[in-house]
Amino acid sequence: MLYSQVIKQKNYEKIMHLLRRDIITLIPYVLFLFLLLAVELGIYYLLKNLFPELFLKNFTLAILYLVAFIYTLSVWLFFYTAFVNYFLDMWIITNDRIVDIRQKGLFARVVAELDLFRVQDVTSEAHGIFATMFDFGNVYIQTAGEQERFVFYNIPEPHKIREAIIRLADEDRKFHNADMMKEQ
Amino acid sequence: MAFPLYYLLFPLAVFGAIYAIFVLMDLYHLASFAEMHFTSFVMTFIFLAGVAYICFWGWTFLAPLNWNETVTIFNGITFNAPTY
Repeated sequence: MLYSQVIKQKNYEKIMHLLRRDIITLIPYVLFLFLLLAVELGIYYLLKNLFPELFLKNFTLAILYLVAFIYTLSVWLFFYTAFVNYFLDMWIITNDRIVDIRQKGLFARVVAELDLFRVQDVTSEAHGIFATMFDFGNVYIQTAGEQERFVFYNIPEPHKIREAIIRLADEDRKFHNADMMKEQ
Repeated sequence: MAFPLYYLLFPLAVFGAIYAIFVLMDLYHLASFAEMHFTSFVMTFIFLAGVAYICFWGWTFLAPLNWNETVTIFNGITFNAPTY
């Protein structure tokens, strides 16, 4: 499906930025995957050395292999689901609005949007050694209303994105003011 | 209690069905809510290749076992009422 269909793009609207969390934020999941597989291997060698008789009987061998098979497949699926969540969490900035799309697990999805001309305050932060080194961080967007603020988590180049949002919000505000003047 | 060893394959079949549902949900989400992208294609390919590889090794280990063997468990345990 095209992103223009995902956000139901208006005819005058242009997608300016499509943001996802920085790819570097997937590294802890990769490390966790290796850790879980190492645990499996460790348990195998432990059982092989401490209880070698388990590997001689047909019944215990079947249970051990089945458990290992199910465990490995589950770990592999966990990693893929983490990637799908990463890939489907996105923020789309157009010249008219900001669309926040969050995939929460496999069965929940939240889509929220915010008009650019309502943006009042934009803050960007890169916190910590890795965020500073690899230039990723959060961007907080506050509106004039009482609506809760939008947060872009761990996006690449947060400071540039903050500047871009401020510029786009200014342009959209001018466009809306001109529109209101015409109506009067 | 005695049962043939292949009874252990029934929970595996249930797991396989649940696993397939989860994989299909992931693929459905990727197809419905995101554009086709090189990264998602590569990751999906790696994932499916990994599943095939794990299944191949699973088959290699599980196939030589004698699944028709009858297993007896809890055979020696008897429950007697206490005598006073």
